[in-house]
Amino acid sequence: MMRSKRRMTQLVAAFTVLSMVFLAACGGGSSQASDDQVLDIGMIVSEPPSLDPAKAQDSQSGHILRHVLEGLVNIDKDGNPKPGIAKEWEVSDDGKEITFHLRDATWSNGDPVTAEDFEYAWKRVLNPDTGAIYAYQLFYLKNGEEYNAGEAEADEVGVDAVDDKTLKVELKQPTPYFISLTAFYTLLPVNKDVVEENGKWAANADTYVGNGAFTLDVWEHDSKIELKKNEDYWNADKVKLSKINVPFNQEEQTAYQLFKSGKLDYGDKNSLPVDLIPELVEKGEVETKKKLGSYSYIFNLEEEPFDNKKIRKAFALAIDRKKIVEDVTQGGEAPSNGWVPWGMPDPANGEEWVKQHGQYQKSSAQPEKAKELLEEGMEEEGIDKLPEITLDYNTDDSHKKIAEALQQMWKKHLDVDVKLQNSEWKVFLEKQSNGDFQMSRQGWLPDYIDPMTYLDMYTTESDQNKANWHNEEYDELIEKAKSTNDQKKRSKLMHEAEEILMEEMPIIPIYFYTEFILQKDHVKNVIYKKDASFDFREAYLTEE
Amino acid sequence: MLRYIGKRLLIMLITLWLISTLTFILMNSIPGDPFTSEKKLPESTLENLKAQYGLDKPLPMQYVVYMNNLIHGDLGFSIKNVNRSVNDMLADGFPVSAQLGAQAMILAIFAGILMGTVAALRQNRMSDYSLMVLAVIGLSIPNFVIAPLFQKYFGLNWELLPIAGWGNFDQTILPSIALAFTPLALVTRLMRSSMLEVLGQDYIRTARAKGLPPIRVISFHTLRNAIIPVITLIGPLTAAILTGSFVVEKIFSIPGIGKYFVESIINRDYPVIMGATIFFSAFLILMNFLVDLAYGYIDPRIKLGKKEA
Repeated sequence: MMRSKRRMTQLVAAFTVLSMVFLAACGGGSSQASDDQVLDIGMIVSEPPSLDPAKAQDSQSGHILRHVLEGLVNIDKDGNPKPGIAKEWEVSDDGKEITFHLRDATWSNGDPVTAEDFEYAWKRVLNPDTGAIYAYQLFYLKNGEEYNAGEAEADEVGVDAVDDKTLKVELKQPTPYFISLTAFYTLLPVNKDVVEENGKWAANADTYVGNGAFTLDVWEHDSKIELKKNEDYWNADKVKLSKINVPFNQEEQTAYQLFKSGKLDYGDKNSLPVDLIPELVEKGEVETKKKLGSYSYIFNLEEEPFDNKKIRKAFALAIDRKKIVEDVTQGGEAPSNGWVPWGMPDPANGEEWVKQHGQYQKSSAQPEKAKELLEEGMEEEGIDKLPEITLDYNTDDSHKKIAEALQQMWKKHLDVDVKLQNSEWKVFLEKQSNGDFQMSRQGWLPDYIDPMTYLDMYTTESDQNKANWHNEEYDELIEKAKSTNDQKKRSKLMHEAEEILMEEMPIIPIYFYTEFILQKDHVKNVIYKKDASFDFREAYLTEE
Repeated sequence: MLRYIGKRLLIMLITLWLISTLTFILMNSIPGDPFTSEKKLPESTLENLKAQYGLDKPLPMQYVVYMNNLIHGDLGFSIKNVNRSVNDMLADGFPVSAQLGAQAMILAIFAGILMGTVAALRQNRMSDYSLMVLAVIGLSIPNFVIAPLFQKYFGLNWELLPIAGWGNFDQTILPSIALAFTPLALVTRLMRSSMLEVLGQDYIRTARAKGLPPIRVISFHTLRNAIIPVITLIGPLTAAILTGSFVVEKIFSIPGIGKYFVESIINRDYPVIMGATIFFSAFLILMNFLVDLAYGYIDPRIKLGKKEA
């Protein structure tokens, strides 16, 4: 018995030692590729849902798409369009017709890129049978919306390949930002012959045909993508990277460890654990950039007590935005002074929109005024006690912290108890779109780079107007702005509209977003653009 | 025996049908659909999308279509990951999850049985206590805590093993160990208690009295009897571990199927919810069946399919 016990103990010991040796022996196996222009990026969280431009609907797919396909134009650092596949373009005087002249470019299978590919791609997005989620991005085209709804024929849609190299576009209304929009992934071209032959061409790397600066070389589903420099790209001389490795890392913590160990060279917020952000931002290990995005709360104007403007304003004035960005979010965000976010250029002069108007709202709280307005509002409504108020947000730690901070501010400044209610993302969205809320969280990113993307959503007709706010004057201003091609006039009308919005306050803007950039010192010339995209086309690596 | 197997197979099919029907009903009753998004889509676009995925038809109709496809082995296409069939997703991801799970299970079972046995033989001694403390730690520290610690020390600080990814054997070591932690602790504890119970039996005393070598008493007489409860546990445990771990796969960036169970529901990706649930259920049912069969071999006293006289 004793002997066997001893043997057992020895066995355990041997097992432990063996496994240690085994562990150690397996270590240090991976090595980096020898080619020095290989960039490893960490912004892709998981499998991009679709690399077919008609089906793509998320920024993750967008990051890849922008590098494997090239549209009519590219967006430069300042958000302006510069020639892409179109070498030049003309806009008619009324702003409703644009003619693009295409350069000689080829697809990765050797076919020439033609105007017909664009016409085909756009009509495919609008075709009801395609089931394209972002079809509305092409509703600017004459009969675009009608075709998508099955009320017009494909031939009637306002896009026409006049010849191989000329694309004529007819718009419903003058849309000065349409040219920039052609860089958006929904409007990227597809190779007509390839798509007609194989509807699932975009599902795998070996059937994928692109025309961008890189080709889709490897796509291991749920694991990684590898992009290779496209030697036949029209501007290949400018492309310095030979390869971009895109491993998918769902966990920010993992991506961050990989970055620290040198396995990743570049990353964004997806490579950063939320808890580390304040510390890393302060230390300067993470760079913050203005991101076009507005964090806000929407009031439901069809529910008491927020049908009353004074009560809405009281709640808004009781918020200390400065405290929220400095003590809660702590990522370099800015307190909103209006609804249109920072970084957005004013179409009149290209300067930052937020600096072209006054402070619609202050960054600190104004408790006295808030209290006064609340009392007046309650008097108007003939009530001496507010009904129970609930604030909705979707389940998430950062949203929760902000909601709790607001709850405290309302308690402190207005002596009002607000209940917090969180729900799962899609349940939350259902509630919001069914109008089943009093106050609800809303983060808003632009569809295109023009203040209009923030303003036309609050017209009476808009699907995005979840506040159920209606204002004729506002509707009229937006309508007028949409029918002119004169940028100065548009800008003025939109400023006026925003002023009404902030006066009536169907929403309380809280703060403007930031993007976080993690970058190794040897990575140069990656461009973070206003449309929240990253451009690696002209990036390069230096010796470490 | 054949009759027993036939009967069991029939029950398994009925169970599977019940599970898929229930899942179908439940998943359609949660608010939201695959196309619910922060930017509300125009009505016409929504209609086009629903038509494309057959979601415009009434629910009973959708159910019939789905069941018909299921009988033909077609799990449909993911709505979120456009152009990927659920069959492909499972076929690509399952071998990965299964490899990881198998490695973890082998580690958990062998080390667990060994440690449990040692602890039982050295009951109330130092080695017993330390093994039990380890087991309690293994049970109480979740793997989302252990995994990042592994990454930080073995991957980043000591550079012994890769931090994440999938492709070569090195990359499987940390996740396998992280995944094995809880089952290892479970097996160890179960093995210890069951071993102690058997060690107290008369026939063990008899065997010892006969003068059999201790190693023979342990391996032939004790282990064989003590292992039965562990086998019971191994069935469902294997099913759970081989079909992927959401947490471990996520942390180590492993392309397994663990995430489909969670993400498909978040995305309301109906075909993936159905596919993943049916796949997991079928696997679990099959595992339980195999375990029942295994009893018969390990313990001849257990007679399958025969009523006790």
